[in-house]
Amino acid sequence: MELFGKPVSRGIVIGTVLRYKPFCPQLQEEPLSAGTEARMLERYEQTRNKAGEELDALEKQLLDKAPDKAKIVAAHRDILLDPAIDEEIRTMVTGQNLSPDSAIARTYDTYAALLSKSKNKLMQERASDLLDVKGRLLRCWAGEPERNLSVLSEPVTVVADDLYPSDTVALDRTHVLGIVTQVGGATCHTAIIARSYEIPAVLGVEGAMEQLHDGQTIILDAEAGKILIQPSAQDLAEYRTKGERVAAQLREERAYLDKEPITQNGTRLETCLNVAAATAQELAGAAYADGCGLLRTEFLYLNSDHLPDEEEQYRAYKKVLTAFGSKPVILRTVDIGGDKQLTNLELPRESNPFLGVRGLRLSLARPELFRTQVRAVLRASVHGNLQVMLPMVGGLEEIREAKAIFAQEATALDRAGIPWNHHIQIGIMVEVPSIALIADLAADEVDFVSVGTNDLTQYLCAADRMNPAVRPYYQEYHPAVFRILGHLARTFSAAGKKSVYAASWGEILWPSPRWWGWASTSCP
Amino acid sequence: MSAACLAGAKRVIRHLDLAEATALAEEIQNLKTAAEIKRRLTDFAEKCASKKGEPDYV
Repeated sequence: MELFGKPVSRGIVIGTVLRYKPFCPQLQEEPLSAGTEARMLERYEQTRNKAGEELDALEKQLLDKAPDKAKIVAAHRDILLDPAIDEEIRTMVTGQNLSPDSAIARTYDTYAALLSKSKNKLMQERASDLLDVKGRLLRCWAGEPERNLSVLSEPVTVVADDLYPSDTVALDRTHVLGIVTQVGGATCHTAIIARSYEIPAVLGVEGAMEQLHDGQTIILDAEAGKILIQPSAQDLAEYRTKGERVAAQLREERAYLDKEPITQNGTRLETCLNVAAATAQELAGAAYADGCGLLRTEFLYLNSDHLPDEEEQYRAYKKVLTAFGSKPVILRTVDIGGDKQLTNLELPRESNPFLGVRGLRLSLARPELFRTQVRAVLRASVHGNLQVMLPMVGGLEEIREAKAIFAQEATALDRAGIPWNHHIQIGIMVEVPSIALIADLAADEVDFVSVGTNDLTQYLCAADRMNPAVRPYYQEYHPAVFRILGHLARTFSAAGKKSVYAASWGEILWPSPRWWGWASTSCP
Repeated sequence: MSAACLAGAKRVIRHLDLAEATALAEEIQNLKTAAEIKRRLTDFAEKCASKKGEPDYV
């Protein structure tokens, strides 16, 4: 049996499953019985001490091997020992007869909510630290042992619904062979951590927690985005060989990072990089790439408990542009909807989100969101060579509407005397077959075209790539995919416009689009 | 991380015979099924990956 998901970090591993389920607290909502306050406060004090001991031990463990992470743990202890928070919890217990676990939850939630609304980025980040400490206290209160991924006794493939920063902060890298989660994609925190630790990972695997059990042997193929359950002896032998070959290949490839991308015939092929976050890990390759072929902006929306304001977006875009210097950076306006849902924005439920309000459709349906991003993009454009790409475009009307909003916001910036790059280019990402078939008309409206084959294949073949039942119909090698790729490149080239192929994780197609005339390829 | 993928892309490019690749692209345009295309591209990708050593032309 096989499960499928999105490969986000390369490699093939064979390992035993460790199902990771973080502690889920059951709070006591009823008021305390009369006369029990003192006993409850004493238990609260013991809980706090226990949490402090755990943090001390964790800090000690991390001091040598990961000093940065040790600092985060030390910050958690500072929060735990904060006298104002402690006093507030005690007052709730004695003054309002609240059980200490409810008092802990209310107090920490209140402070976290306040910090998350702060305009100061550092203060916002402290909100998640507060929630981590809250979780630790509530687990200690329940007498549950710590379940984390920092100390593992044997090599495992971690299977979880999702992994949070607190789960990965002390991840035992020597024993975590692979990662499988039920939610998430290329831009989520887990994907970024997996790539930076070079741990093979497949995310967005529906049913993983139900289908996979502790101790079960599985093959995680993060080259193809699949998990083989109960593999046969033949499967194990085949994938052991494949895994060794991929590992050797990855080791050998490292030496090529600073080389020029020139073919045996002496042709230089423009080679860019996809970027999914404004972090040092994601931007590590900027110096060695010809530009950023796809800056996914979803990270600002998906990994946060609030919608990003203009200033937060501006700072993130500026950071990416600065990393790439004068090289082109193609920023894709937010592509939410479909498999990317937000916790901080109520979106209407749709029976088929992939055919619903996603990508540019959502931006046009919620212009206040789009205009905020457009202003941030325009302001950031002075810090480098920024180009803008519109996702999920189906027709010319949408392109024109989006361009009109850009023009309106640009005029407003001019009036306010705020500088922006007047040579900014606007292009489209082709995923919807309707726009591909009128590529000649689209080329008159925009400056460049880009394509991502995952969604394009899905829409061309009318097959959900995450649905195992229609897996045989999702054909990334379907002749129609190659005809469309050739058609797009030829049409835009004839119009004197550029074409950029943005590769996805797990495809082996990536070098071939150049042969059909695509001017640039961007690596996942 | 993305840098690892970029390194992999550069390795393939530096071992790539563009004329051979272009001929393959034309051939693929005339293939009729996904299975045929997958087989040809996989063979080619494996051939590229199996090339050893750093080319000395640049």
